[in-house]
Amino acid sequence: MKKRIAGALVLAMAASMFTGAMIAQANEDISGEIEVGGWPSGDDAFKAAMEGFNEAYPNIEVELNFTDTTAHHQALQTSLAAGSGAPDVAMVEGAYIAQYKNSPALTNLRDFGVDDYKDDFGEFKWNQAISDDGTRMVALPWDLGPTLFYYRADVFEEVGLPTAPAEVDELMSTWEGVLEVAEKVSIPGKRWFLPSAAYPYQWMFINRDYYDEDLNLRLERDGDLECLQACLDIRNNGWDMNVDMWSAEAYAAYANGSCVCVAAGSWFSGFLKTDIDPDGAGHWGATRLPGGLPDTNWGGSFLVIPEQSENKEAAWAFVSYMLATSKGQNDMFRAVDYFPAYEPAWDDAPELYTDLDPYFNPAQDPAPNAIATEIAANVPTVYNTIMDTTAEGYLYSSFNAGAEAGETPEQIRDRLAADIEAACAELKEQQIQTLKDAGVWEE
Amino acid sequence: MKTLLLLLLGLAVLLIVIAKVHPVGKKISLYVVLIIIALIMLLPFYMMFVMSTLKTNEIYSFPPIVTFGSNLATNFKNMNEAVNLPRALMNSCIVTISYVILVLFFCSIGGYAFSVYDFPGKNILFTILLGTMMIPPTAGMIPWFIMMSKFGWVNDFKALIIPSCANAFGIFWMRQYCQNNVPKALMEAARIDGCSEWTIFFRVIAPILKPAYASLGIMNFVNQWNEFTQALLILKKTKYFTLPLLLRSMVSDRGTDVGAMMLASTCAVLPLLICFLCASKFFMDGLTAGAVKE
Amino acid sequence: MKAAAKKNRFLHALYEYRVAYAYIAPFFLLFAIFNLFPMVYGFFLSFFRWDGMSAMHFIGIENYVNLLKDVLFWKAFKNTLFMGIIAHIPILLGGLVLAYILNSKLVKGQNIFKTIYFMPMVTSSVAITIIFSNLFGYNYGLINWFLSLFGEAPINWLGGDGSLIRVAVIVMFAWKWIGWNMVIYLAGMQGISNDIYEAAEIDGANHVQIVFRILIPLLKPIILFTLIQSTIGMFNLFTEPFVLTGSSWTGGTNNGGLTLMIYLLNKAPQGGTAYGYASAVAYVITVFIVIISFVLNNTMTDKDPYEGKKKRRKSA
Repeated sequence: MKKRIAGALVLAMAASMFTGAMIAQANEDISGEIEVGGWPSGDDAFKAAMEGFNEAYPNIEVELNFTDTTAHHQALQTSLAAGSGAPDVAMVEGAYIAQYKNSPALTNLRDFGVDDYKDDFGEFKWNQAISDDGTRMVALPWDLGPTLFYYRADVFEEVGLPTAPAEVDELMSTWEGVLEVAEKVSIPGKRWFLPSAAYPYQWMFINRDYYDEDLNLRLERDGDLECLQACLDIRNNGWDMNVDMWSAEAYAAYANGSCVCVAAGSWFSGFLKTDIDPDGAGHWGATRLPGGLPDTNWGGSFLVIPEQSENKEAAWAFVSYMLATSKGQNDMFRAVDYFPAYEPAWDDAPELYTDLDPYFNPAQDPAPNAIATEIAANVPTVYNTIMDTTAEGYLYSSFNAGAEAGETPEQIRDRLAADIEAACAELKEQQIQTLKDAGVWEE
Repeated sequence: MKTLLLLLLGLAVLLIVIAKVHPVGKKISLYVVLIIIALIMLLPFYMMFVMSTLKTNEIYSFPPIVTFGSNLATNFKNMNEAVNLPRALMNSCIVTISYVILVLFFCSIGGYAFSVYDFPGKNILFTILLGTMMIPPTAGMIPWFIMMSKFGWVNDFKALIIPSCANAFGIFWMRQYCQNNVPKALMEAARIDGCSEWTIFFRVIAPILKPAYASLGIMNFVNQWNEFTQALLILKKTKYFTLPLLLRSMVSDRGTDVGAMMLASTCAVLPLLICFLCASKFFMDGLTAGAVKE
Repeated sequence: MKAAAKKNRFLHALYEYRVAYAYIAPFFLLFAIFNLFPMVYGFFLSFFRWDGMSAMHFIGIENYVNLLKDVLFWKAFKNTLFMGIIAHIPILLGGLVLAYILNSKLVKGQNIFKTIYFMPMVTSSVAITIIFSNLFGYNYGLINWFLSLFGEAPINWLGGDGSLIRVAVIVMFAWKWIGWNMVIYLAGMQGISNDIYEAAEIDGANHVQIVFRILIPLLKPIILFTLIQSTIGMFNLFTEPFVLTGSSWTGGTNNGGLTLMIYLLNKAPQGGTAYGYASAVAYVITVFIVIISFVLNNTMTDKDPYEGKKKRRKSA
């Protein structure tokens, strides 16, 4: 075993020297056609960076195949299970990475010397892509999702609230402050503070650290009950729309100003600009999460190379160019606001991160991306499991069920724990099996 | 809620009273009921047409807009930028038409054989055939997909066409129709004239089956046109998308352009509706004459 | 020798009736390849724990045991059954009554009504579910607007405590299937001689009596046929509740809209990767369908021995 690892290391080093040389100038040796699959607006990002890629690798042709997020992951998963039909390079959303990190159906990027880039990526994101036994790394991080709190500055101004990020942050740093703002901006039946009152509680978990390494569900954390109480107050006062934040209904409300606040990863800036509120320059402001919640990360994607790909070399050339060069990352960042996980990109074009963003409200200083850069530095490393996405679904529905039943924060938390345990029973068995297979599980 | 229930109750009582008073009143109440139901049936279609002419934020406004708007051209432009509708329309046509032709062929010969020939094992085979109708397709979905990929049928329309083109329901349907409508004397006469069994079927029987072809054809057309689950597994490249996949791909986390999507839905449903309205009489006749009649 | 003779007879029969066998062969061949094989393989999978990518682990009947112990599975089962049973009231009775009215020559323009009632069958469920989720919307929905005209507060159909999601699903289900049933019943009614109605009317029977005493008994096999069909439809209920609850695998608040099919697909291949477990779920659902079909078949065909025989042939 040791020998094999050593062998792999030598190979990896050789490969990395090889790749290192490749980046420097146009590489005409690698050729062929690769298919890249994902969801919008990854395609816009790749198109924006394609020119640079074509210069670096003139003989690789890229075909983009994009569909919606759910359909993409499902198609990817079934074609990995079946052993054919997957693209050469596929996007994987942060929420799903735990399902894939141990997969033998994905190429171990260490064969291509991915470890050379270790220092260029933030630790918490890098570690998410490493298999449980620590031997393989099947995905390269694309972007981070430093979580920002977006608010309609025009509405804030209208009701006499401050609009500068620092002031909003200050005002809403306690739950009392949050409720005060909620009350001020809401008009019953017409305008609401949030899409759903369940979300402040969800923000506590949005880095998806539901389970510890012994797979114990750990929902209790500092200030969670106060947060839940604030959520209940928002609900009971009718200050939320009581709809899913991703629903078309909520999107329409963001655009027309009837839903005033929403939090998401900083990629949401891109959503706002191109899809949700394209005509809304000046509407929005962004700052840190309210209620004294810690800095956290929300999503962000990875790229993987399925083992079934017939042109892995070209696929890796694509992945490493797009995600591990400053030019690739910043070209994409400029186009779609996917915050680069590749840290050298931040210094390479500092203006992208610090310059004020004309889309946002004039009072928005520092720029959302400057705030995001600060947040990115504070995100803790967490342990992800395949249960995370299921658990996340229940944060929303169990809160609604508990609020509807008039429960106390403790009761809601207990209900949530019971719901998650029930829904994740089989997944947990499977996770244990995976850990056993990796040799890192002890009964 | 109370006022509303009272109103509904009042309406019902009124209709009953009208119906009791006079024979003409009975007709009036019946028409009122039928028309109300017809309106409910049509409402979603109407809303779909209306929404395809509205902006997304007009669709989500209160009170809701229920009359046609002025955004049709923009929606059309956005739709064409987002998706390739003609391509999907063509894909759907290819899949559906070839599927329906095969279904009609295989099911009619199968149903015909079960109806007119007496052969050993006929009853058992027919019972098995009926039994298969109860098995939900999901039981073997994963292995089915694995099989399709081993066949190299991923991203291939064959996977949607071949596996179910001789389906139990169609054979059952055709058998019922043959049972009621194929005169054995006619076959005998043709046999005496020296026709082969094959010729008999094509020259003599197939024309008689026309109404059954129409009804079975439309049913399978509808099912295949709207087929979603299998298509989602099989067709992964956007250039192979059929209409339901195209519609689904327009629903996005990044914000669905509901107006454009409704326009695309309208485009997906309209060909079917037109076909159906044109063939409606033929179709209903086929249903009436065939199948489940004892 | 005996075996050889038997074989010979078999081959002889095969040859003699080759035309008939050739005509029915496509179905059995395609079924064996594309349905039977996957089903058998699925059964095999149901005894394993497999995430679709890593090694498979044989675990005996553990999947079945876990599944029967899972409260969510039974919630999904109850929801499916509840929605199925309630939805059958409008689609059975409504279908029958509409068919009766259109068949009775009391009104003109039957063809127009028939066509309109049948139209929902012709739509794509993806599009139509989005329209229904707009109709049932909380803040902007047409139905809540209609209620507001009567001074009602808006109802959170798709949220709330989750119980009203079922109403929305039932409405959609009924909307889609009522016309289909009506057409089938109409077909059956047109096969019943008018003399029977006339005789009944002379005896002084009213319409309600005609429907319940004469039509329903005569239409039993047809009703059974539609029942089995819509039962299968009910167990396959997925897109409607899934899209109505915002594509949530929980089936909405309190799992109000969680159906068996959502439960199944959540395990694999759409939501998760529990392929073995999902195969077990699929098998249990199949067993439910077979049991219900069997019960329906038996309760509806045991009265008159002659009739029973006649009907068993058709419904089996």
